[in-house]
Amino acid sequence: MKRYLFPVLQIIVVLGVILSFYSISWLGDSYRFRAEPFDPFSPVYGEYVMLQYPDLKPEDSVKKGLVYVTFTTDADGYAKIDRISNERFFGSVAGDYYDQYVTIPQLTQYYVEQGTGKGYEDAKKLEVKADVSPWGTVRATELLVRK
Amino acid sequence: MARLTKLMEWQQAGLIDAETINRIKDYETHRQKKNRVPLLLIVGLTFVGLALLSFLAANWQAIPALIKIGLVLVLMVSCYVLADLSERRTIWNPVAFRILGIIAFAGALIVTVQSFHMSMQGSFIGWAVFLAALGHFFTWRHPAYAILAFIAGLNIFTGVGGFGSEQATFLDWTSIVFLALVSLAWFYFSQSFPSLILSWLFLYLVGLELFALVSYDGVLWPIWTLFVLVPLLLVVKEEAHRQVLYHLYLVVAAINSLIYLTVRAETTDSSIPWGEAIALVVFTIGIGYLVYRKFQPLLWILPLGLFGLLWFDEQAILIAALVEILAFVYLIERERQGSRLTIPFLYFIAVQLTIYFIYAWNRLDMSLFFLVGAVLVFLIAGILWWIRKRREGGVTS
Repeated sequence: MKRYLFPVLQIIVVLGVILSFYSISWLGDSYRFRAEPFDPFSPVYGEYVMLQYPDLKPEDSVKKGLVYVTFTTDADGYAKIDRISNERFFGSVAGDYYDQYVTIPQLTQYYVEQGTGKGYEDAKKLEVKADVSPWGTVRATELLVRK
Repeated sequence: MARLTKLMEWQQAGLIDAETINRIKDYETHRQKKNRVPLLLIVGLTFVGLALLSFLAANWQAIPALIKIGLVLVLMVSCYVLADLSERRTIWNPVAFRILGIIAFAGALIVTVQSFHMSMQGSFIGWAVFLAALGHFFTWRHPAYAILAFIAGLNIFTGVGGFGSEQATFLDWTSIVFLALVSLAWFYFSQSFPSLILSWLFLYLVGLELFALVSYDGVLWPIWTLFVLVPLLLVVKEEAHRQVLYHLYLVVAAINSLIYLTVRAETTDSSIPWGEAIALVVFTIGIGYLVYRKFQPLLWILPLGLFGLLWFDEQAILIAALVEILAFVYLIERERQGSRLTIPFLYFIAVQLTIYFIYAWNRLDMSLFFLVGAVLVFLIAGILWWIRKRREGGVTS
């Protein structure tokens, strides 16, 4: 049955990827991130909003470049940095620290319905709901306009 | 009609007789009838396809993620079903359908990543498609899959980050080691073209990428890599394949020599530790022994081993002299052996022009620069003419 071996294997790979995304939500914690849009971007393969996170501002002791962070919730219910280090530690999420904020690659772009990107960019105050798994992966689940 | 005219021509020339022509005509008309697909069916299917696509495109945003992914997977599976059909009935081209299947697989992964708002960074998709294409190659042994694997694999080199979401500016150790192993296996088990060349190029790229990973600011990496890859020729089973691969080594060495020459002449602040330069010479002697015993056409790449020592001359005059002598001697040697002179001659011209640009560009008045350049080109043309004259036994044209 070698003729159908590859489609079967390839379906398993895709299912594996889907499962890995869902498992972040099943096993991880949910956070709300205060977000701001920047640098409107709309390439041919789908419209998305580029996001930055004003709460993810590390203290001065952290070196620029590759950083590892975990999150906790502040008094308003939004996520903030719990622990940050230039060295990897268990359960940490990998990110980049440049300019003034920490950027988490999986949270920087959110695909939105065609034509709605401008609305989010104009709203300025946004909120992203995301799940963070115990092994340090992140999955954005919802993009909302902050009230 | 063109075929008919040609047949008539052949008949008049006395190449074939009337009976053969009749048999050919009979065969062709019969074959055409058998294979012809009704035009209306093609037009109809095209319109149905277009309608389906525009329906999907119009509703793409509203379709739930899992259904979207499912649709692309259905497309993928149907490509394989069509490939299977075309193979059993020997119609159309099964390879084309399987390639579409691999592309649909890449599409399914992209749609998945987008639907879950994951970052497109990282080399996961590149890896998945690369391995799938290689798997196809080893199952069906068709060069088209090898080329697809090469294109997908290049994405691993250019993709930022290693496996999954790990962030790194270049490939991480796991990816590099895995990539080297897969490329080696590809090289060893394929034993056919273009796979031998493509997997070799991957191994060379792995070598180049290593220096970014170990954060060692060494200039000699390309030469080390090229020499380390020489023993790889031992596992090539057919002599004819080895002959073609010699050219690959020579071309890569030639490109390297020109790049080193240009870089050394244009920079002043790059240095090499003495230890590394001497180590390279020692390694060159070792590899040189192997080359001398087993792969003599590769003796030409060995002078690259001296580049570490010659690097200490900041004006790059020593490198220029070495490259110049090499190009000239190589050209004469090839000419004496009566081999084809295209590549030696191209290399010879490239060396002359590189040296000329490096040393003359800033030092001459513009008009003089081009005047001397023109004289140089005439000189090279003169040498070519002389070589041709000699080869044709003194007959000038």
